[in-house]
Amino acid sequence: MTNSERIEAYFNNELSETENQQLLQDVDSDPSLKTEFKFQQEVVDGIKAYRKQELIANLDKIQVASVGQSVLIKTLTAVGIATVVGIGGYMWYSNTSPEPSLPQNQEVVITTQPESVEEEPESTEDILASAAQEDGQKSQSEREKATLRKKPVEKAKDSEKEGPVIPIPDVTEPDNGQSEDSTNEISAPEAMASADVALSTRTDVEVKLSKKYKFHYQIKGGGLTLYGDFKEEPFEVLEIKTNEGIKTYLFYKDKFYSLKQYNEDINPLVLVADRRLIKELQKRR
Amino acid sequence: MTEQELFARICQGDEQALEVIYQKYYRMMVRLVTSNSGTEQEAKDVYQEAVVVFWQKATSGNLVLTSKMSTYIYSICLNLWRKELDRKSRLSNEEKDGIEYQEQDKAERARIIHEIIDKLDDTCKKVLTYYYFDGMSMKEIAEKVGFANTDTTKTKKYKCKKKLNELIRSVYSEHDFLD
Repeated sequence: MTNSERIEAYFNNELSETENQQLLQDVDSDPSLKTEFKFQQEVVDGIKAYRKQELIANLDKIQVASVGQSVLIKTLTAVGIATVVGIGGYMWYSNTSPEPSLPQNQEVVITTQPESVEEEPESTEDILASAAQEDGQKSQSEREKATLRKKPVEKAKDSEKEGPVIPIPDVTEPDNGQSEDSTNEISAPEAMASADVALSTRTDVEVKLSKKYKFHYQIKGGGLTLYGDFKEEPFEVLEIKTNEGIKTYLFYKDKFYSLKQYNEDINPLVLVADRRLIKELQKRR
Repeated sequence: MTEQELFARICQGDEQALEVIYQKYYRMMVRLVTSNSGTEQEAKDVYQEAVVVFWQKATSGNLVLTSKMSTYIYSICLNLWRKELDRKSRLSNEEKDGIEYQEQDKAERARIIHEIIDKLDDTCKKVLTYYYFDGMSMKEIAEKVGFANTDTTKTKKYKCKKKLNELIRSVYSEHDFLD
């Protein structure tokens, strides 16, 4: 075997371990053999580099959305779907629902539509599944329209098929002495009943998903923010002007929760337990 | 297509299967680098390099997967990115002037070889790259390129390599690269 053949065999992995060692020793001691070895090494390296570059160029041609683009596309898709569903729901409601009749001397403002849900959808499939689910929910709400005066018009992505489990705070033992406040607030049906009222409209209702706040609310700057998963059923915000000021209540899953206007902190939703007040709210609703 | 099927196809040299994998894990791998002081472009470069390493090992038959493909590629990405960070930190501390001349010389020779390979006919390019980079056997190359048998492949490979050597030698002598 000539030296050229030995070198060729070396780069073809055709030599035994002993032959490899022998060749490398010879290369070290023979300058002309070393030159040839280096040359062959460069050629083989060049072939490898060429192929590597070819593979990378092929990968580079593949359309892959950047991480930032991907988030943006998902957000825009979610907003788009929410807008379409919202407009559709509004049009449906405008055509089908009669105006609720209210007492002459009281104004009850009911808000049922969360304006935004701040959560990035997992995937396009989730969004499509959400849209399909909304169709089903709309049919259900059509069946219920004889009993409900207001309908949900917008829902965002449902990440859990069976619906979220919403932890309802125990109102018998609320935190930070809030039980006293809430008791005071919810024990005033008489004041409400005799209220001298004027028109009041709430402009912003926002729903936020938060890891920390599962079933909370915040009233700040004239806007109401609900923290938690309110997608399972429609909710309504009732604002009732009384002699004592505006009383705000949330109606969700057949229960009323009182919302304190004067506290701008994020507070847990407190269930209204007073039967007389519940009755009164049901009547107003 | 299942993970096993995709892997089997990659082992057989199916580049379309590799593209599927590339798209599938792109975001995961890019996030690995971008969340560790890297830009998205650096992340893309590292991921592409990792996918090529994975491809080379799979096609050459040297890879027995004991984990998910994503885990394997993730570990390659991680190693490559660590090396890149090391390289960056070394570059900022080293004297580079002495090395630069040699590097330029080497880069020039690599460029010449690349240009010459590019001028070879497609069959020669495939035979040589499949053999030296992908580590395919003569039988696999014969199947992929469409040769009747392995003997034809061996002969073709020999001729292509010989031709490539000659072309490079002639250009090297023009540039005084042969000493």
